[in-house]
Amino acid sequence: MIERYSRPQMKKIWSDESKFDKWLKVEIAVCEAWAELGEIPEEAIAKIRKASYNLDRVAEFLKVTHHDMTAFLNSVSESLGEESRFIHLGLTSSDVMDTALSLQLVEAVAILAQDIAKLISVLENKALEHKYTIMMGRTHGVHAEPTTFGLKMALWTEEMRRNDQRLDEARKAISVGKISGTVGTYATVPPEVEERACARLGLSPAPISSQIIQRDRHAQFITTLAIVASSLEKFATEIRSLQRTEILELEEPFQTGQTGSSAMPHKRNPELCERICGLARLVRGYALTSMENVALWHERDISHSSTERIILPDSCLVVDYILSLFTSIMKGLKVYPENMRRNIDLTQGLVFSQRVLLALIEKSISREKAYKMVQDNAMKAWQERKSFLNLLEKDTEISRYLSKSELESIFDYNYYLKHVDRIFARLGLSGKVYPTLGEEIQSELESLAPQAL
Amino acid sequence: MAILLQTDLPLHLFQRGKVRDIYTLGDKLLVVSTDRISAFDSVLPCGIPGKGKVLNQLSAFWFEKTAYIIPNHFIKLIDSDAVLNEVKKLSGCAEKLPHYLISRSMMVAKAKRIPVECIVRGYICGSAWQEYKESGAIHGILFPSGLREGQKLPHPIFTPTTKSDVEHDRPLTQEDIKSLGIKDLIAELERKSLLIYQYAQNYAQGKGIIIADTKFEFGFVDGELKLIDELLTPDSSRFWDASQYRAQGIQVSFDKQPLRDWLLASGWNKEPPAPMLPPDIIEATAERYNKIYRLFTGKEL
Repeated sequence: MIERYSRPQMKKIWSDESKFDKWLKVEIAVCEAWAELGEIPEEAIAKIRKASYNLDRVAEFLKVTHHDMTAFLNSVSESLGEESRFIHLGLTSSDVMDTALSLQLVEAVAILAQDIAKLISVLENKALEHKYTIMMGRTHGVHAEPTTFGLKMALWTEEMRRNDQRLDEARKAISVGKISGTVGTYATVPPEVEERACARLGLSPAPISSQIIQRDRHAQFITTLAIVASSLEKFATEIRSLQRTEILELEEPFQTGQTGSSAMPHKRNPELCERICGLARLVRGYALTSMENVALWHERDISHSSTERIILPDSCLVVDYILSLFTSIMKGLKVYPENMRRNIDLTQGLVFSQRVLLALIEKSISREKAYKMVQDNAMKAWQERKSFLNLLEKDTEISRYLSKSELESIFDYNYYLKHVDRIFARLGLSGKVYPTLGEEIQSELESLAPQAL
Repeated sequence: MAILLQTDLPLHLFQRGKVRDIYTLGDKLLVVSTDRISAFDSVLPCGIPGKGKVLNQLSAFWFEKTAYIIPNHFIKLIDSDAVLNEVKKLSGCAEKLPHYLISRSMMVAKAKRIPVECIVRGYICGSAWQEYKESGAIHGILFPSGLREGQKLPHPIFTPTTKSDVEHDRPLTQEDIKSLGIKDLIAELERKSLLIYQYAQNYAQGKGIIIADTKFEFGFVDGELKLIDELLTPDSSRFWDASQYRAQGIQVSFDKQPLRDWLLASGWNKEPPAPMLPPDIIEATAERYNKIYRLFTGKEL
């Protein structure tokens, strides 16, 4: 992934050094397993535990061998004496590479799970803060009925909680190692070695494998990340839409000094959200590739390997990046309740038409007649931009059935909020929220007087 | 070292607190920190020699350090005969003021106090831990489940309480904010409180001290918002020894440890009056206060 979209901790996991560290860890774990079975003498294992590799030497060997694993093993051998003959005993490259890859993925998942937890906490707070901030709900992009911004946030919260669960399932799927030899028959290395080595590495042994760990597991992982990215794209799209000048109910944070356009100085664009939408497309592309990697020939071919060098690190890096970016967007999100209210009023109270209709029917008017009475006024309100309530109150026919106070009680937005508490309770969202400045404080402090620290 | 338990200056007594005696100096105040000490909500019958000096000078130290974040009421330390003379003149008092005021008192501006205890918590302990255990929230703010007592919070939080002479402090509600008329001010109090805490926490980290939580008070001097009261002292904060810190249970405050251990072992029922402390405990506690001052300022008193 390009530098700009890489966060250091995740980048480190996917560095060559981290990869070789894990290869060495697997090699040593296998030797220890052999030693426990009495195949490697005690004094040799003591030295093997201290084995190391040299990145430069690996690169030199690679020029000759054109094979990552043999280059690596040559370098490891240089750090040992004659006990180097026990390294890689009975193994095939994929025993080490695939098991080590799982270790990398497990580390990556831990970071992603933290990212998701942070976002969930911000979303929960936003949901509570705006529990009763009333806004128009829209279907097909068109006004439907009022809802609250808090409910929208609660909806996102719950979606991220599902993503958290999905990620945990994916973690289980990729937390496996395999030390089963060239075609998974354990011909040269017994299952006991696999079991013991995997236990040392904190992985479960894949119950059965071919030369490799089966790629449906990795596909589950990347498709899960693609779903996470798609959720973020959905949220970002919502913000973009609600930031349109004509609507302006939300705005992503805009830094002092930031510019929106080289030509138009007034621009405040939702460019961070647009970036999230763009990068989410990339992750879905990686997901497609990961599924194409499932169907390898027989006990394996190597067509997946080249793609995995890109799609595994990059999907982790991108999703780590957009999770953290979106969390900071949500923290600094500008919410404009007054514009939400203004936009609700654009439709002149027409959202209450169904309630007026039902009230008339209750007064024993036929449905057809009531519908016509309401519709006539609704059309007039819409075409002449007049208050629907005023028109109804002035309509002599309607006022025969519904008093002014009855009509006014129908035009009550709180009607739409009556179950908000219940919905929040279902999600376990309760408690009041104070503004929490949290992480911004450190940077503000630095901007005040960096020299004072 | 002489122990100062109470002052009786020929000046107008503005207020006598648990530890500090405050006198009026025209439009200013003279704040005298005595050597009184309280534990388990009781003022002990004996003092801790030098404690007042530590409190006084530590406050002054922090007031100077944090002035770039927010101005404060601190004017000057009473640290010489010359300044003491100045105080005498300001007070219009005919008698000579006692020499012991030097280094344990300070001159501050008289402020219109905002009756709110601006508490910042960086770690979960005390009443916050009790609340979290019962409801999963601190001051009504939801926190992730599974926090342990004494654990560092994901980020410091502002948990203001009422400050009243007649009732126990309790969390500030939206109604309090309305009735105190500080609706437009509370966000500023939060921001400033968090900034000072963050600054002090960063500073303390390098000195091997954890500031678990602390309390600030604010007031207006000539219409300007200022930090008042004492600042980041052992009496207004929980200081922990970073090298002893383990996030899984009650942490004992750096200054109170010998005292607390002895009081608990003494079999005292925690009802006033508190027992007299033995000399070695007084000495150990005094050394704790001096150590805090030394760690923070790098200077001896």
